[in-house]
This record gives sequence, structure tokens and C-alpha cells, in this order.
Amino acid sequence: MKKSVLFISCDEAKHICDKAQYDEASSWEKIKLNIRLIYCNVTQKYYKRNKKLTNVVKSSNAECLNLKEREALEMKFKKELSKH
Amino acid sequence: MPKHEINPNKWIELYSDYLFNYTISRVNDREMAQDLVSETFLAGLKSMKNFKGDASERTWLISILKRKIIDYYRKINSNKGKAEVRIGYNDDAESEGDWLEERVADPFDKTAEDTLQNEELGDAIHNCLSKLPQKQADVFKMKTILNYETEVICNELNITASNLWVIVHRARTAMADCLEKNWL
Repeated sequence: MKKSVLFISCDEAKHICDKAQYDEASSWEKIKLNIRLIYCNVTQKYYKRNKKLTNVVKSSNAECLNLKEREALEMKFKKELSKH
Repeated sequence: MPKHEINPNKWIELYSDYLFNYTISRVNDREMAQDLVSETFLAGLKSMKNFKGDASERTWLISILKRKIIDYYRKINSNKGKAEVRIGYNDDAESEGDWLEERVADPFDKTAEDTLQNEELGDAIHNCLSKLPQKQADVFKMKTILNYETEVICNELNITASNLWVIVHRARTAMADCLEKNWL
């Protein structure tokens, strides 16, 4: 079956929706997602939930160690661990 | 027989981010938070013999960390006479009348309640992350919390971009499920 230019599958819509949370969806992808959002309940639900998750994580100011910090911590700890 | 066992080989992988988030929300200084987490792990190693296994490893490490945070505040508050009142007002003629505005409460300033809620939400997020498979948790943290570029994560974890998005999708679905149960 020939793939439609405008109409995308639910899975593809979810994929674009994920990318959009990180500003990595292109304008064309966003248009396709918006078309799907008009008529698909599943996509609408996913979109709403996904956006809510993004907002919750952003508003929490949750932090974690970046790669360098984690590496430094690991090195220091392993050095000490080898003595035990 | 103890309910929980201790395995320091897994501490960094399992608890470093949780402890770091817990600390930074309380001391508000990234470098100091790293030091306190590091000290907590080292103190944990030294007192491993005292671990009875009644509580989980994480609870036990948090109790050590809490003491470290209290010690940190005690230390910075112990130097008497260091406290000073800083008022950013000067009597420069040009800024005459500005003083009142400077003293009006900032509506965007966080209240204690907001801060507490953020701390609890941060803890809830890390709790949910700890339930994810390791790779999903790592990708979610790097992408959503640390805001790393897709390319950087792919290089670091040696995965393709399409693989990354599959992992992101699974992680986001699991995180939404978990947070809906525990927070939202």
C-alpha cells in the first residue's frame, strides 16, 4: 500500500509527539501530527499525557549527575572500594 | 535473616542520582552536593558492618546523607559573627525612590511550600526512574533531565537514533504510568 504524505499511523504520530517534547520534530512532522490529532482519540490521549509528563519533569527541577560528574564520583568510590 | 542485603558495587549505578537530587534540592550548590554524596558513599563503606538489613540500602544511605547535610549546615553556621545584613540600597540620587520597589515581595519568588512540593516531586521522579530498566532510565535522564543532544547520547551509549527514540518512548510511557500512580 502506498504511504500517505499527510495521513500518518498512530505509531508514527506517537514517535513525532515524543520528538516534539524535545523540540526535535520538524515543521512538516508537526503538521502531520496536528492532522492526526484532529481525528484520532488515541493520539490525542497520548499527546496530552506526554505533554503533561514534560511539564511535570520541567517544573520539578529534578537534577542528576552529568557524565563527567558521575565518572569522577565512580572513580573516587572505586578507589576506596578496592581497599575493602 | 536480614530482609535486605548490601552490595556497594551497585551503589553508584543505583543510588547516585537519587542521592544527588535529594542533596541539591537541600543545599542548592552543585559542587557541595557532589561532595556530600561522595562522602555519604565513603561513610557507607566504612560502616557497612553496621547495616542490619532492616531497611533498604537506599534508606540506609539516605539516613547517612541526612546527617552529612545537617553537619554541613552546622559547619557553615558555626562561625559566629559571620552573619551580615546586606541591603542593596545606596543613596545615589539617581536611584532615589527605587528602594520601595526593591523591597516589594517578588511574586515569582518561590514560597517554602513550592520548594517542598518541588523536592517531593523530584523524589517521586527519581523513585519512578529507579523502577525502569537501567538503559531506559539512563536515556530518560540524559534526554529529559540533562537535555543532552540525541547524537551525544547515541555516541555515549553506542545506539542508533531510531533505537534511542524507541527507548525514549518506552521510558516516557512507563514514567507517565508511574507518576500517575504516585503523584499526578
